[in-house]
Amino acid sequence: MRNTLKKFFGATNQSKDEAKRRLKLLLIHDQLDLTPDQIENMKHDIMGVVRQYLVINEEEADFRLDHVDEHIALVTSLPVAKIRENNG
Amino acid sequence: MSECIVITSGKGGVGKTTTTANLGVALAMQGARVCVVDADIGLRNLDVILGLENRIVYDLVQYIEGKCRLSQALIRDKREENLYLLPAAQTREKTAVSPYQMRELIYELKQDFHYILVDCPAGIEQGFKNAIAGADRAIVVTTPEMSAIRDADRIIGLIEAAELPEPHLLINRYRDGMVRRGDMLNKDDILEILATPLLGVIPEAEDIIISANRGYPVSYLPNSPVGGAYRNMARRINGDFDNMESLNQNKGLWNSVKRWIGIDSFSEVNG
Repeated sequence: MRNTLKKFFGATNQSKDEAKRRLKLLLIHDQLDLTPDQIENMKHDIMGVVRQYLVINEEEADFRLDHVDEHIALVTSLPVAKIRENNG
Repeated sequence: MSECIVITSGKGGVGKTTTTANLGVALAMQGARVCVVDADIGLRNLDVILGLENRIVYDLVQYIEGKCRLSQALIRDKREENLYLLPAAQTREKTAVSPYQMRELIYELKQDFHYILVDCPAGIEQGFKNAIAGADRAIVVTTPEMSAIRDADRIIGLIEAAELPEPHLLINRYRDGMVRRGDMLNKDDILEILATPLLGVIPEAEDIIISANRGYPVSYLPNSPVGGAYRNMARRINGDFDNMESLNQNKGLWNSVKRWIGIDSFSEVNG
């Protein structure tokens, strides 16, 4: 039985790792009561502000909610392509 | 013709949500348009079992409160285009919805779906009353355990009192080895105690845990014996519940269990 599933999903990826990843994300969303849509909107708004000052490589931007120590953190990585001219 | 079936049990943790997800998938694979409704407001999980938790924007309560259209609250399954989920609200309480509103909701859904499967919360309070409000019939899930059977009996009484037709029984987590050793109530014992017609037997299987981890119901897996058992059950639902009477008469424990599990390949897989 297990082989059926393993064959189906590929043996390398353990299902418990997938469960853990899904659960962590799920609990964060439950605690914050934010929908994926709202998070997408927040991302859009924050990027809008940053864009006024920096040119960001948006393809590589990482934007997620995660557990850091005991807290939920908004973790972002926004690779800067260049600083906008006319700043200041 | 549309039908609304509530999946209920009284006791928690016997497999209502897994049953709802897998029967929903199996019925949809057999060509029916299916909507699975999570009636467990405040403790939703049907989305997780179906692997659709990241797609939720609106929910059942928001629709009932007029904050979105029904089409916005419905999530189409990513694998089966005939299958939709109406998720429960996670941060509200059972009292956010009334039985009357549930009946109205089910009526709306019936305009668009062949089957509406309602995943009932555990307990016998408001959540249960909401879940059965719009239902045409019920499937009672139990396991071969004292507490689950006792609660199933109570639920069967409440279903009768609500003037729904006689429910059908799904025996979950059946452990053939223990039954053969005489250490677990067998199918016939349970049917004798509950005096309720059988829909099917689902064996205890690791597949179920793995598929929950993945958000990928076993009904999708062509070679899974448990998936096969759900698909057979869906065929029985798709056919006629009354046709099952003759099958319920069958004697010979293991043979009839095999028939109900719906897999002659079961022995091949295990041996």
